[in-house]
Amino acid sequence: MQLDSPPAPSAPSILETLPVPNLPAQDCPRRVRMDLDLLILAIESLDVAGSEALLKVSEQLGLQSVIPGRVKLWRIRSTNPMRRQNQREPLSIAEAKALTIVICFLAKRLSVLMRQLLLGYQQLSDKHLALDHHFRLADYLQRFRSLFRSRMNPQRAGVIAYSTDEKLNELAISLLTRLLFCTGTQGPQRLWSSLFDGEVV
Amino acid sequence: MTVQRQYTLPNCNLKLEGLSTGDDADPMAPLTVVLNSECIFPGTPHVLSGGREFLDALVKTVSDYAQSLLSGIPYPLPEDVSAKQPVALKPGEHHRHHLMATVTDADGTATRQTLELNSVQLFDLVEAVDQLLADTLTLPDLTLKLSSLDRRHARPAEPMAQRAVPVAVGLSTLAAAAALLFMPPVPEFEPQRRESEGASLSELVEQEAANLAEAESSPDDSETAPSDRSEETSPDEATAADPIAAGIALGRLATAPAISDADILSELEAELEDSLADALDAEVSFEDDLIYRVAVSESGDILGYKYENDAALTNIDDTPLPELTFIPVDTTETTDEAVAQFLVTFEGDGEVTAEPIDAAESTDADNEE
Repeated sequence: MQLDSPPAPSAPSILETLPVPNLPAQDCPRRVRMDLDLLILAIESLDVAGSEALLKVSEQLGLQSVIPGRVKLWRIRSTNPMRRQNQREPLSIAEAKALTIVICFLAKRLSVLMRQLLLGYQQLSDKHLALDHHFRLADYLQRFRSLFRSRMNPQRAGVIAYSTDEKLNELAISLLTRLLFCTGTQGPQRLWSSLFDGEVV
Repeated sequence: MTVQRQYTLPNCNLKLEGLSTGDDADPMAPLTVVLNSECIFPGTPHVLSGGREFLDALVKTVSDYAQSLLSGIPYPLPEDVSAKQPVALKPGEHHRHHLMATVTDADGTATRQTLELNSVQLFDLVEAVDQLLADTLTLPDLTLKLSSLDRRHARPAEPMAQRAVPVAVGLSTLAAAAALLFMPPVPEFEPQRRESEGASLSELVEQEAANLAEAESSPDDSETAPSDRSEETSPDEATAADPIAAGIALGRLATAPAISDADILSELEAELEDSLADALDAEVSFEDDLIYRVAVSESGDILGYKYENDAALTNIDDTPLPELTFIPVDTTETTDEAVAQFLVTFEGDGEVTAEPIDAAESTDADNEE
């Protein structure tokens, strides 16, 4: 049998492990775009080579058709409305699924570090000590703050809410907690379901 | 056969004891009946234990709480433990979580336990539950059922009190404006009558004075102005007491031939003086002399008059002139009847004098005006 055109690329089968949410629109809501980008930002703050690792992992998981390269990844992440270079493009469900799976995969690798940081945070806050006393935690928070400030548009209402170091630290810790919950056995399912809380009809 | 399953994590151990169905020799036989479940947090003295009911409540509460922690949107979870819901979780300060559970002892007394968990301990509890749910050899009927909350549960961006503020401000402003606008009286509506009907006589006189002043300032219009005014005033409504009609009557006489006979003039002069002096109200007195130019016909009828000074205009109603003037039916029609013109002066003490005006002089004066 002769084919005139290559077979239509089918979606990677790994994406089918996540259910399609019952959304009123075809693309992802605003909160999904923000949350996914912020979780990746937290991964980058934990691991300097985070974005490189993200590309490598998506290749390993067979997600090249959804995230073919660096530029596409940047465009997907720029759908976050908080960003300076916000792309007014929609984020498709397949792209959001791919990011969710990759985030959970990377989080699992970093779970030991995340546990250390969260336990350190609990010890310091129990003793009412500044977070600078934990070197690794202070490093994470400092990197998160600088990445957030360099990439997010300070004019945006959503970004103005995080104008101080304390508020950004609070955001960084809550993102760390969320990443920890992504490392579990049901991590991808839990994260995926939580992204659409309050959005489905 | 009694089977024990254990899910061990660094900060949480979940132990299940139950019965397996199927062949005793089969190690893969699933655990289907739970006799006892135990949840231990190493490093703390707390042990939570209970039967199937406790386990179901633990799984449901922990799973929902984990989702609300991930999404930041609160799930409809019970605030406190109850007979129906023996396990409850609620958030505390500094990323801590309060786990509350009712534990029934071996002797049947129920005690309530409250644990404070940090994020890592809570995650280990969630992970233990997830592993139990994912385990097909233990309670195969128990699986993870996740469904996103629908829009009704979406957290509003601002609390209800804050969202109510603009509405309240708007309503109170409207109420205040309504109260203020209620205070001024409602303006009474009076259907507007026609100017010529509604205006009083003195107003009309002033208006006429203005018109005449206008006419005098532009000599070219002096001939046409009276006929214009006659169109404005309906002749049917003109009465003997109407000074405007009288004024028009004088204008109408502009082309009338003048009486030049000296005998007739002196006769008319005496007649005019007598009739005016008789008709003048004795009680009325003027401060200044009133001077009118009066046109008289050959038969002695006053055909028209015109004031010559301001006092004459204001006091016109006190003189007998409006009553004595003969107003023709058709004021627009010019008359060919010969007339004599007199300068009549009403003096302050009630004396009336009349002086004849030379016809040629008067027309010259008219033209000069």
